[in-house]
Amino acid sequence: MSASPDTPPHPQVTRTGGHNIIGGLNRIYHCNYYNAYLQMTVLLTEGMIDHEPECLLTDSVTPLVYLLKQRGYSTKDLLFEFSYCGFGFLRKIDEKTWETPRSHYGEAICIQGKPHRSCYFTSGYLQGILEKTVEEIACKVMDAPVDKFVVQDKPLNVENYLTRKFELQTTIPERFTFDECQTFSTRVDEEKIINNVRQLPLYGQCHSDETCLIEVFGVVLTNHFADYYNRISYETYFALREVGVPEEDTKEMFIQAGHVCAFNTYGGIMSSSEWYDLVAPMCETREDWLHGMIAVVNTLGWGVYRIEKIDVEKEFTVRVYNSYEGVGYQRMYPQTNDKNISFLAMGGLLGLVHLLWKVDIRKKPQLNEDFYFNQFNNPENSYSIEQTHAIAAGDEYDRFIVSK
Amino acid sequence: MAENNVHLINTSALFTALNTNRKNKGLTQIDSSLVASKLGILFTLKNKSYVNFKNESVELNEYQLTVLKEILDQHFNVKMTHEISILITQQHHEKRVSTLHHFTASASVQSSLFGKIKGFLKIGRSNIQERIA
Repeated sequence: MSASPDTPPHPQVTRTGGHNIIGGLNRIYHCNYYNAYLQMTVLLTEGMIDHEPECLLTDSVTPLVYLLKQRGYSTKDLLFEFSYCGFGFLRKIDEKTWETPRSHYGEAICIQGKPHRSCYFTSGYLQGILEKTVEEIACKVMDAPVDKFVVQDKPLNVENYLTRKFELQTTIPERFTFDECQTFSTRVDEEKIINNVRQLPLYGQCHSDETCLIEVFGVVLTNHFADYYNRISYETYFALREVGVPEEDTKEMFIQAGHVCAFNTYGGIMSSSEWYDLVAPMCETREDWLHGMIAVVNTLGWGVYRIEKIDVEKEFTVRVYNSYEGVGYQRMYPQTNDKNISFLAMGGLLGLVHLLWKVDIRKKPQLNEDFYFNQFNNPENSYSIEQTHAIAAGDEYDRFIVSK
Repeated sequence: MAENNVHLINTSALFTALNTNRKNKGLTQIDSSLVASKLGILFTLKNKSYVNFKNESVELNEYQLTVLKEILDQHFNVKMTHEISILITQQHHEKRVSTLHHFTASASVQSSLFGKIKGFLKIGRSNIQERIA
């Protein structure tokens, strides 16, 4: 496949309060492992009355595409951005048929259960472009040569769910400058790390032999919609709680998704040549690696992470200003009483601690299935995570404590 | 009556058998806490009662055994009819029907390879939360 000769320029990214805004919507980087685990968790609710996970996975992106169109996006812009954000290459075959010869959800998703069609996101994105119902009829997960989508004449009834106003916080303390912050001595230069990471080509490219996928650090990334993640996560969480699944089991699934993401993505980053060229030389202690990885996280659009405390091998406390989960929750739902509600952040921070205090990523272990299963995710020597403050509950920031 | 028979299954052995099956099929292994959480959720949805697979063992009646096999096939991509038959270690007559309750391990359960599966989430107010309140 080849890109059109008049390829649009890169989308403009507005960076504010730890968010990366493209077309008015916050975009966040996530890997194929996280996407797979999250989709699997959502699909656990198949068969429930009054809750349709396949529709949730499909329809949650459609209103976001509508919002982009309201901002002036053309079909060409939307197709370009689909590739740019690492979802693959989406093309029209005829009036009723579209396909993705390359796709993130068709190729990079790891499935635990029986193989099944998996490109719900692509179906929903296409629904937004065409304003008609779209159904996936063939999928690369099931060994089809391409993912294929059929446009149906059924009317589409999808509503915007971002119905509440919630502004980002603009006064965010600089690193180490808030009152409760421990005094740290580190040579890790966060600004330099952020500036360097932003120069990396973390976007899909479709020209010549490129795949339109963002294959980097041993994972496959997407520059995804924060609101999509929030919608499918929280709607599923509420549905599970409503039928009586205990809180711990329900949250554990979402936290595990973040944990496996940390293993693969953070682990991959901290094993990369880019890390060893730029960040490792700044690190004198093992705990400097925490500072370094937090600096990288602050480029992902997840909010602004600020380390509050490190008590070596005992406690790791982090605040997240404008956490995408907290902000997203407030834009969809009434304020909650539940403080343990930012699941991805919980799993990610837990995973980061495990990479340094449970195993030692500096020893360059092979980040394979055996290592994950036997050591990284082994219950022995595991830490626990709790969230003490939540933007979703009206607090100024999310705050997390990882401890034994 | 047969459908009142309750079978005891050691969860550690179940998860080991699951992963052995998956490995034999060339599939990735899945850690115990994730398996336990998934099974707990799926049982609640399919069986209308929660079964806590984080305990050392679970007690399942005939219908629940059928549900378990279906879940393992659909959501873990393994068929384990034979293995589950082997894993059943005891049979009790069911004394009462419970819905949406946690089962606790009976005193006669043989010890497993590891204790109760601990998740990552620290639920409830800890000392730390009380300090900052």
